Amino acid sequence: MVRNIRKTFADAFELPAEAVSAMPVVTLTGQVEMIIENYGGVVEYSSEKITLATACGVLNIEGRELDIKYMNSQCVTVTGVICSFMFVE
Amino acid sequence: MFSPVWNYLKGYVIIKASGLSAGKFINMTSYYGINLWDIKNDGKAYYIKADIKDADELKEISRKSGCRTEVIKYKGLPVLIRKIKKRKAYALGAFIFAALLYFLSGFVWTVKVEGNYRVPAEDIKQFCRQNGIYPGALKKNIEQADAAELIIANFKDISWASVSVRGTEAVISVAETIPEVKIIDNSYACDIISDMDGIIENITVISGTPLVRAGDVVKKGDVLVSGRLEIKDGEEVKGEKYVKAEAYIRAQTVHKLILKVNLNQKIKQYTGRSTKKAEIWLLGKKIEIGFDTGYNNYDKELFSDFSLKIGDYKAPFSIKVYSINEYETVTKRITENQAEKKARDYLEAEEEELFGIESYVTDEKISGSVQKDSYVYTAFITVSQKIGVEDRAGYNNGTLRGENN
Repeated sequence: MVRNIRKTFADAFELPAEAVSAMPVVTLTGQVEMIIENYGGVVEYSSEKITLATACGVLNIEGRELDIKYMNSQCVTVTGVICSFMFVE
Repeated sequence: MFSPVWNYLKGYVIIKASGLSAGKFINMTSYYGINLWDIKNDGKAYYIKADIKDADELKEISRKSGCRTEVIKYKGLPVLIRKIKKRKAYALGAFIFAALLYFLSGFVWTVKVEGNYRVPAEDIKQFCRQNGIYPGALKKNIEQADAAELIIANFKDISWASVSVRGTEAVISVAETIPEVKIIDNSYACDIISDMDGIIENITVISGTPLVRAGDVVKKGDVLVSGRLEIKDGEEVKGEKYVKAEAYIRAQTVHKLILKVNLNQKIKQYTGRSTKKAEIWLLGKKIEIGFDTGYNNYDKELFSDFSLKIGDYKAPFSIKVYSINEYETVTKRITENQAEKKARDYLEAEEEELFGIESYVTDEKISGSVQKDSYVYTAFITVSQKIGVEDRAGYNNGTLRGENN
């Protein structure tokens, strides 16, 4: 309900969705770097799989030699060879 | 902002987080607004890098999360500075090094000459040395413009010069004048005569009248090219003209060489006894260290040479170690083959000296015989070589290219 109100508000004023809600913003550079903003926390971390909690469910990132290059309260940068990523609600 | 250089300048700490709540610890650190980077997981523990200023807060978070943490290493510039502060001698050494580097950079250590072809670089360097540009000279004492003018004034083959100091190298750039044209004196008339017996191979006449052709046998003293030119009108000789005969003539000449090789050769036989001797050179004076070897005959071979050098500058101090090997002179009789080889090696080495630079051997007939203690090596060598010398005997001295009707 709250999410719908926020979405309607963002649509009405043509605001970016992430500005009014806690939607994650995923920026992918090739398959070597992924920046995830607005994440909730790290659920699982290994060199093959990284799972992050987000407002839209968990984000599963799978690949090889995965590393968390940088991390703070707003964003996390994942590097390595990213093969797939998927949101699971 | 988070570049490795910036992190190094700020200083960082590497922390190992292990245990079941390691994930919780990481999430809590980001929740508290602590920046983490290079987070690695080896399956057993997490290795995290964080700002050095957050180290205390991380300990607190670790306590709260119940995670076991361990500081692996402190790294970065603040850590280095802290270390240096503790080690005064190290800091002093670094300071002395920097000061010495600054001091030494005030001198010229190498002198380079460029742009010279005819004037030897050594001559220019020698002249510059006399005028204060040499390895070891203070850079500020070098008057670059004056030195360049002096070089131009002193060397008549140099039309432009510039002296510049690049780092610790003095570079002397020069431009040379156009080389003087070699004037060939054609004011007299002459013939070309043969200076040895032989068979003419080829003849190329530049001026004069050729009197021989390829295949002709000539003797020493024969006129090969005459300086006399006949001026003809049809078949009728109208007059004569005298010129300086010029030609390029090659001929096959035969040389007989007899070499005697003494079969009883004196050779060095090393006794196996050797020792080392050192020489210390200090301010041009030699100090010998060692002992009297007692050897009658010995070879002195440089074993090692230690000298202090900066660029082209040699400090007036060096240590030279020589290896002294004792030998005895023994007389040994060599075989005929060895004697022949010696003679042949000598001939090969001296070929240019014996027959001139533009010559080559085309055939050789060799015979050898032993006479008492000598091996007599007789060689008839056929050489293709340049022949002909100027002969002015048939002309009056000073006769110009004139016509004699």
